[in-house]
Amino acid sequence: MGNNKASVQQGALLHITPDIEASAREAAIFVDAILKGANPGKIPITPPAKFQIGINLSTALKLDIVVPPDMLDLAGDHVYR
Amino acid sequence: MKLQTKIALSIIPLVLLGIFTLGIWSIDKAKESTYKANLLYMDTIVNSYLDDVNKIHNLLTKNGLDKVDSFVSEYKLKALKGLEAIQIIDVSHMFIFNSSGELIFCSNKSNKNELESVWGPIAKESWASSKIESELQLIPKGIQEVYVVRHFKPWNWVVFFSMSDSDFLQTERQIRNATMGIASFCSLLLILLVLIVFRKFFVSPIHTLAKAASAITDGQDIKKIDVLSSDELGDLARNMEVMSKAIQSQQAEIKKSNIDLENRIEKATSELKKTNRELNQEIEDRKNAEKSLLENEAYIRAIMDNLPIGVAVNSINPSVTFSYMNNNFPKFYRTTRKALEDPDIFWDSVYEDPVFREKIKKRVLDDCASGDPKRMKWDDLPITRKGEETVFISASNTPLPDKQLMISTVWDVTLRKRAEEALQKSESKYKRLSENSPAVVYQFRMTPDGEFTFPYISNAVESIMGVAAQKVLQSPSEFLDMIHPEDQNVFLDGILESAKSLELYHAVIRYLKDGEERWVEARSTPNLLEDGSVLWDGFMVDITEKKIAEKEKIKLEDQLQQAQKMESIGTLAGGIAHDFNNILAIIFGNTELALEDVPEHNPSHSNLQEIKKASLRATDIVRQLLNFTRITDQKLQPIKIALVIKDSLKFLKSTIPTTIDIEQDIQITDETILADSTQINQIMMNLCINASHAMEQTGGDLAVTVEKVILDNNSAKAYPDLKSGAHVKIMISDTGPGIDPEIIDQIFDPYFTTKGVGKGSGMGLAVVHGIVKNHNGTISVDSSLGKGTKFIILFPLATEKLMVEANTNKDIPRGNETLLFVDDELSIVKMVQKMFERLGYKVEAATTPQDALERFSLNPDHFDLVITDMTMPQMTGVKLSEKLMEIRPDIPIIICTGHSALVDEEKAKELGLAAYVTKPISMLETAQTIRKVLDRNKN
Repeated sequence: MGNNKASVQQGALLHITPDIEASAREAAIFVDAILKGANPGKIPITPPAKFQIGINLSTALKLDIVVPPDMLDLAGDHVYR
Repeated sequence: MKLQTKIALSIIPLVLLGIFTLGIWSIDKAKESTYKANLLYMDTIVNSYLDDVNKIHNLLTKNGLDKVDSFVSEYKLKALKGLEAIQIIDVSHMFIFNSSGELIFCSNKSNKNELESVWGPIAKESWASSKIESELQLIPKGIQEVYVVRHFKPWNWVVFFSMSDSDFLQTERQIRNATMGIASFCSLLLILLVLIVFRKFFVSPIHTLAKAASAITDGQDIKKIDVLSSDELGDLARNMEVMSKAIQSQQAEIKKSNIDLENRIEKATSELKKTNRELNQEIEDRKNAEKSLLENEAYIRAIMDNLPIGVAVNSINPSVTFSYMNNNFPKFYRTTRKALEDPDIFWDSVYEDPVFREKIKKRVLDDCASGDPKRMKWDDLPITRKGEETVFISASNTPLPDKQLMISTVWDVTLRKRAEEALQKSESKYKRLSENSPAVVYQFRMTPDGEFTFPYISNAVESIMGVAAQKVLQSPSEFLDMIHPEDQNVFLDGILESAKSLELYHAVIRYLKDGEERWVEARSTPNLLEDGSVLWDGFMVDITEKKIAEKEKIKLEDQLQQAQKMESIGTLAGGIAHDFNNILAIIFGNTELALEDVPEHNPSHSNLQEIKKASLRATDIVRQLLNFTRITDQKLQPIKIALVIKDSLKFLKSTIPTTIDIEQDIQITDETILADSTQINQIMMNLCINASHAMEQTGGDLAVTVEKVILDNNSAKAYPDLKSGAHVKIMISDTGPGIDPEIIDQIFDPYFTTKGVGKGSGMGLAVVHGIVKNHNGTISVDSSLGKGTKFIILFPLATEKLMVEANTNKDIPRGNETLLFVDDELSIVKMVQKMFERLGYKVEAATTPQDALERFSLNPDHFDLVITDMTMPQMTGVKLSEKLMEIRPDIPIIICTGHSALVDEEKAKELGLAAYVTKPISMLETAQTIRKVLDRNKN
């Protein structure tokens, strides 16, 4: 199990981490609200809007793990060998 | 059978036929549509499933897993599970074969072998021919089914979706039944509708017409029959309406004729009744009128008798005969009705005095004969009765031409007459009062246009303001012009304010009488008149004297305040002088001691001399301070005036700015005058500093001339304070701007100054004047604007011998007696002890009066002389002296003081003291005094 994309690329079976682009967009919304006068202390804490899943198929094959189709579909382009 | 039933029976079969045809047609159409819809449904579900399978297969191929068995078998399983999850109708089922005709999956639990046997060959054939079908097929073995078949090539799958024909057609049957039901319902609805329409358009109008015909038969008025259609039924209804109207009209005419006849009979009857009533009323009215006439007569008589005037009707001719008179008429003439009614005694009964009677009779008869109504009125006629108060009446006659009669009226005017007399008396009284009053009594009026007039002003205005009352009455501007220009607005504003508020007008205003400024105080009460004018009644008093007194009072108060200030400064100066003199005594005495010790060739000797001089000068300053506040006694002694003036000028040169040149012309040398040099110095300082102030801005010359003049008897007369003889004349002149002639008389007044606040006290010249007077001299000033100022002072020359010369003897007297010296200042005690011991005396010193008293009482005869300070704690020098003299009455005591209000030279003599010495103690002066006292005592 890896904690980022690079670790999966390097051999970890999979990683599920918050999506960087989505996080940046959320941060931008916070910045916009603060610049418009919102009290930073009042902005609620929310879970990440989007996660990124990465799978290393080579590792899966080595470990003899069949990756379910739903998960493979979720990984999309982040499937590494 | 009714009409509507007949119509309905004829229409219903036609309608039912139409509906049946429509039902058959719609069932065919529904069957076809249902078949197509079912096929489409099956096709859509199969295609959708194959899309999902394709998606799973793509995941494998995309990620290169299509060759990995574990993934492929797992993903296939996933695809089959997906098929399980699809919800399809109960009568259908889905199943999958491989290309070899083996069953892989089936959606329901059908017999697997049976399925394989029926559908396996079809699947194999379909795969081989690559034929996909979506239609009704009759499958071998007599089973009629509808199915859809599709291929999924990657996995060699043949997918079926089938439905049995009977199940498939069940839907169609359901539709047919529903259609028939709806058709039957619709036909029933249609029949109902047709019946309603028939009822509305045919049956109801006919029914209404039948009802209307029946009503017309009964004689009712049918104005409107409720059939509005334009067909034959409508026409019938309208014709019936016209018919009904005609019948009604005929009936109304008959009825009207009957009523008309009845009315005529009734009217004739009522007219008869009315005439009867009117006749009765007229009889009643006449009775009432008669009664009312009698009442009115009595009423008018009562009014006439109660009128406050006398009224009578009499003949025009001279012998008066009365046809009517009220009760007051004889009463106002102070006679009786009977007397008046007799024509012969009318005049005699009214007027007692025969002369007046004839006079008035003639006048009245003449006036009446003239016929002029204006002449027929006589005012204030006296009616006298012997022994009674005269009353006055007014009378008038009004002729009644057609009847040869006159209405005579008479009324009592006694009260008015008395009031007028009283008013006249009162008016003359108040006029007398106002005319004799020292104040100006006036009435002042202002019209709404702002125009001023004096309706009345008393003659006092002439004595106060110098303008005749008549002139003011004619032209108010005569008065207004006299008001001081600066106070005219005050006067007018006050008047306008008072007119607005209607409150008391009070003002103190200045006026000019022969150019002189004088004051009046005016008080008046405003009254608003009917025409909007305001009338003030008031008086004015000349308060010029009071004003002057007030100014004087303020001036005196200021002076008193200044004097009190000076007194407090004096008290302060006294205290300071005492302390200074003590200090100076120490400096001076020690300097003298040092001078004896230091030989003359020593450079310190001259320094000590300077200290001594400075000390003397400081002593003078203290004395000057005391002199200024009049605390010290003047020490008039013969002095060389030229030297004093030269010294003063020397000092002034250092203080006066260099822009001012000092020229001195001193023509005398040894002449002496009896004076206090400090005060002469003060005169010079004050006059020269004043002169320098005058020339401060422009610069100029300050000239001081001193000369000897001899005044003979004639020239001495010009100076009241001087006697003839030799005098010293001091002239101090400057080239400043000079003194304004208007204030030149005031310059010697105390506190008069032209300098700004804080720059001059106004005391300089007053002090100079005081000093000159105290020295028996005189001072005068000669000044004109732009030409400078010259002060001239004259002092009489002294005949006394110059005292300074006596003091020039430098031999200090000495002795060997025993002295007791008392002073609370230890420094002074030490210094004096040394000083006197050098002179040979034996000195015992005490720093407290108690100590001195104790020593003295132990051995009073031991001491030859006591010298004591005046101001000491616990006991004053005077008190100590008294106590010492109680012990030994003949003990000589010298008292010395810096300054004390309790003792001076005279007082010291009164107390029996031997001598009085002022601090600072000079060695020479004190030694001489001691020697003198001791020698006198020995003698």
